[in-house]
Amino acid sequence: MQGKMWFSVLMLGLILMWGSQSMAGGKYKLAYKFNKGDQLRYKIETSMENVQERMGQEIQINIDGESVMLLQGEGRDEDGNVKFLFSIESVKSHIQSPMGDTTVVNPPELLGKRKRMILSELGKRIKVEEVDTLVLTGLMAQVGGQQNSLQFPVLTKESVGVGSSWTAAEVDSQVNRGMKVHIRPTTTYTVEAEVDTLGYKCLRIRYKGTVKMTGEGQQMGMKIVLDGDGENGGVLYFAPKEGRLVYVDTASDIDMNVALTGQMNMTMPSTIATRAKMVLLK
Amino acid sequence: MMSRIGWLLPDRRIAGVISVSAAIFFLAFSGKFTPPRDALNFIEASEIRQHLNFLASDSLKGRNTPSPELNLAAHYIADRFKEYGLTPVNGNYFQTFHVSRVRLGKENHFTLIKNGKSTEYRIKRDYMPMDVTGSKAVEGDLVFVGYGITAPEYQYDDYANVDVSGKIVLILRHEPGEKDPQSSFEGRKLSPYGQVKMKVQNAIDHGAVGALIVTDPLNHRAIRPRGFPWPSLFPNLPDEAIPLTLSITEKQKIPVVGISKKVVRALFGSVDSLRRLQERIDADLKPQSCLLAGIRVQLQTSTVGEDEATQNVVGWIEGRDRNLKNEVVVFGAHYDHVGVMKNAAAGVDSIYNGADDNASGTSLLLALAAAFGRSPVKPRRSVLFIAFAGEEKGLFGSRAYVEKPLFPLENTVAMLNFDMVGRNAPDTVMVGGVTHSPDLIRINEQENRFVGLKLAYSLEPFYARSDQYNFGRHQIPYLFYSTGLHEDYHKVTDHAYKINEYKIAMIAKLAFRVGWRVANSGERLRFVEKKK
Repeated sequence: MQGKMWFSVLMLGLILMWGSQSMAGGKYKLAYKFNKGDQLRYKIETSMENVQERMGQEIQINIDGESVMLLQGEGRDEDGNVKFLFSIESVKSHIQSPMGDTTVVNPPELLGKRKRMILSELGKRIKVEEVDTLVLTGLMAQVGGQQNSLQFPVLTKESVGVGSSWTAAEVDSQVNRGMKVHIRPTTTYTVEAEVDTLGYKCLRIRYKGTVKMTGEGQQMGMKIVLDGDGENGGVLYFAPKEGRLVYVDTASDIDMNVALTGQMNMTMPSTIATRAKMVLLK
Repeated sequence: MMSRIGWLLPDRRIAGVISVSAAIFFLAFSGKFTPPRDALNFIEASEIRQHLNFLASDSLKGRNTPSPELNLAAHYIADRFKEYGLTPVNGNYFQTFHVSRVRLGKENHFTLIKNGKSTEYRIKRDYMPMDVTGSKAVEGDLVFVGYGITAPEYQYDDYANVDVSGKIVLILRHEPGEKDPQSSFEGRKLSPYGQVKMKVQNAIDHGAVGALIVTDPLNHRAIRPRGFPWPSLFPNLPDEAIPLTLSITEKQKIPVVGISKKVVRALFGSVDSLRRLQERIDADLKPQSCLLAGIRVQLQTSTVGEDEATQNVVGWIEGRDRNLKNEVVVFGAHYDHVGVMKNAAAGVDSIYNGADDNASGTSLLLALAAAFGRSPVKPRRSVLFIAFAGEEKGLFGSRAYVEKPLFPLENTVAMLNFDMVGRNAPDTVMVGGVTHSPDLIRINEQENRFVGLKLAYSLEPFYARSDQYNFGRHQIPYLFYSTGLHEDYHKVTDHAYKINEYKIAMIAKLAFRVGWRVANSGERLRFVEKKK
């Protein structure tokens, strides 16, 4: 059961990452800015339902979470990429599974532990490095693993305005607890309107896409293979002047299959439905 | 005997009390049920140790099902049965059954004919064959059967007012009130009725020839055609990850597919229409099952698989009572484990020896066989010993037995199962059966007064996780003995030297006493269905 739990949390991380890959701008050039001294706090609410079948038995795992993440701008590197530190300030996760309910609140081993991310102006992740040593075990290792998954929508280099549309197809790879996962989202963004939101002049951008995920790795002597695909959609608000996300509301449905070989041969189909909201705090 | 004591006494009320007391006394403690001391002495820790050392040795390579090493273990057990004087059943110590790795075949089709207009759907995108699907082509009317549940204990039957014989059924996943902690089923916990496998079996039992499974839209947003991820449709998934199935069930199967939102819209106009139908069922638990007029379904799924033979090991002792010998008490333990770790680095231990899981239970079974077999006095009822194969693959050996029992199940009075009985506290054993087998639990407690183990009752959640489950499904009272999980569970470190053979001997003595008493008592034990 613990195995299923970490898998669910891993999936939540991947989906959040994918779900947040979506933004853009007006007769505007869109680019991320993390100026030195900028401090951005985002409140993130997530709910995930993972319905999984294992040897003919259905297992449901639901995870509802709320967290606050701090992003601290560090300016640019010599190649013009933006740099920032990110860490979790607070987190509360409620996990329902056949083994019972668990609530995780502000685990000290996770809070405040910083990582540095280097990001292209258009949102392509260049590098993630650990600033504070993170020693996590069990479920926390997976919750913490989500930090690696923090990713940004790939913007377009063309100027955009209301009615503009573009498609981004960016391949990303993650390594987490012996699993190497490749994610191939294809997302089409459409700028719907210019709106004032939370004190920012924003572009409201509707997006819809598909994703394909594959992965493999070794755990406890068993080979694990992932294969999944799905679709998502939602809306995001991007402030072009400040170069930052202000609000994201996303939902995704993914079929994810996990195959185990080794001491047991097993293929577990699952459907993962996720809803996430991210809002920039004042 | 009870009535004779009563007639000799002047006061009928006193006589009644005394006769009942006497009956209890005799039932519990009379010499008739006292196991022969000699027999108990045949249970020896040193002999248990010998069995353990062989069954959990590296040479048996983890006793995977099926494998040549499992066959070696089977022959070892059969040889012991013979040595102890057990009789082969129908001339054979082996009950052969077949397992296979089922793959999806090439011919898979799903067509809806609505008011004369045909629409053929695409596999993987619109529908997906499930792991329980069969290799058949069927055509028929479509009947919506709600959740597809028949649950007498909840006074709920989706099939109450519909005839699905020769028809194809449309079934919602899960069960009424799925998200309601106060639901009339098991609150938010999914009851066995909510599992697709049980719904499909129920459809087959009602005569349906095919089934469409749809995610229930009231409680789940993603209406996707989740079926089984067959490697032929998902090339990234390794073929060896396909689990084994029990071949004897293949012929009973019908085509079963999961369907998409697109198919739901074609059937109901919208997902909301189906959601409203589901709401009506949940509102008052009144089935909304009905024939979907004007709709016919053509459904074909194909599977291919090659059978491989494996075997349970069986031996019995005929009862000495002319009337009771046709009834049988079953003692069981699985002797398989999970084999070897593949792709292990050179020099690294890669053998899952399975000393506790379940060379320990198998050794206990052999100790019991020795005690019953060598005892000069035989019980009144017959006793049957079964070492099951394929437990680790999905309780296959016990499923194969109850599908083709060697003795009629209606004459099987009890089943005692032993799974992982050699670890943890030296004086404690967990016993399962509280829910379904209160008589056996009581007898076990009474007999334990002569053995002195500490009894714990935390095994109920594990009811479906070992071989007693397949006997329980047939309303056969059971006891499940285990000493519980530990850090070496399903690891290559589950070695024989970590097993406490003295503890196994104590549990064997308790089980012998219980088994002896059940095999000699005229009483038929109760199996209690779970009630709300």
